[in-house]
Amino acid sequence: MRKRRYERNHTAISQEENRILAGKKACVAGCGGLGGGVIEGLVRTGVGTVVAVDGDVFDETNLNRQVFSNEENMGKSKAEEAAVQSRLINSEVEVIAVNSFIDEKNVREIIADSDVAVDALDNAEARKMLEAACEEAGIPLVHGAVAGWNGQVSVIIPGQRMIEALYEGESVGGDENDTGNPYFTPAVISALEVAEAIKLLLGKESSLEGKLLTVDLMNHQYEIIDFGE
Amino acid sequence: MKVTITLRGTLRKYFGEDKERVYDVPEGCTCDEALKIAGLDYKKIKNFGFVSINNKRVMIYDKLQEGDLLKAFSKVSGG
Repeated sequence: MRKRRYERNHTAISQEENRILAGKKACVAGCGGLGGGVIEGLVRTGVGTVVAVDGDVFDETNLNRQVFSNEENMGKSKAEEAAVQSRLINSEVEVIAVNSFIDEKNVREIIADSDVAVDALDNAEARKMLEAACEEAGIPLVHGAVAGWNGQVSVIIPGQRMIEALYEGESVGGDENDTGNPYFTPAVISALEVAEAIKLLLGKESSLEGKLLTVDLMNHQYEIIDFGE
Repeated sequence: MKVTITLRGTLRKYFGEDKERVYDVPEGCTCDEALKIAGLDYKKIKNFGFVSINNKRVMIYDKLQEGDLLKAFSKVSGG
């Protein structure tokens, strides 16, 4: 055990809070641009167990932004690579790789016993499944999404159904099909998701519960939209 | 009555360089109708996301009031 590992967490995160985090479990759905950043953040912060979920493998187009991708691991499982590299960062954290896409059959088992779930997915259909399963299991969900210079973050307490509101109708994708995904937007949004997940794990109040933070990095516009009743 | 409309994400292109525009719309005008006056038919925009009035998310057929700020957001779903 490295005694000074969390020294720079303190006092933003106290020693006692770090001990609490060591007993917590977070499920990260998606290990791409957002998920890589989220997993790295949770692992470095010291969340005890992180479940890394993704059925995809790395390819060349991931190298611009996905932190666990490199020139040596093309074609390898994103979830397994996230776990392998996370162990090098923090061996005190257990990272469980789930090399599968989220679907109706597996989602409940994947999120089971988690204290928080983090949405780092890239499509509305899987997000809706995740939100419904989290609601059923009573697990809070941190939502994040990116497209070009824009991104968004939300904290969804079971029952709020924000994903349903955000992605009404058919799943046809969003702006990202036209704008692409450069490095800096998932870097910012994944860090915000980590901050919200840590707050939830520590029982701290989040000002994003039932609200959507929209981030426009080109124009530096940061707005909070209330999705409450 | 006057309402202000502002667009976010890829919807910005519909207003060119303008950050926002003020429109004179009929009493009881809905978000949908106001956007049509501004030149946007949400049904024909594949990435159209949602609308808010005064930073509260509303339904597209909800009514506006004098002085309201209507924002229209494009859909963001990448990961």
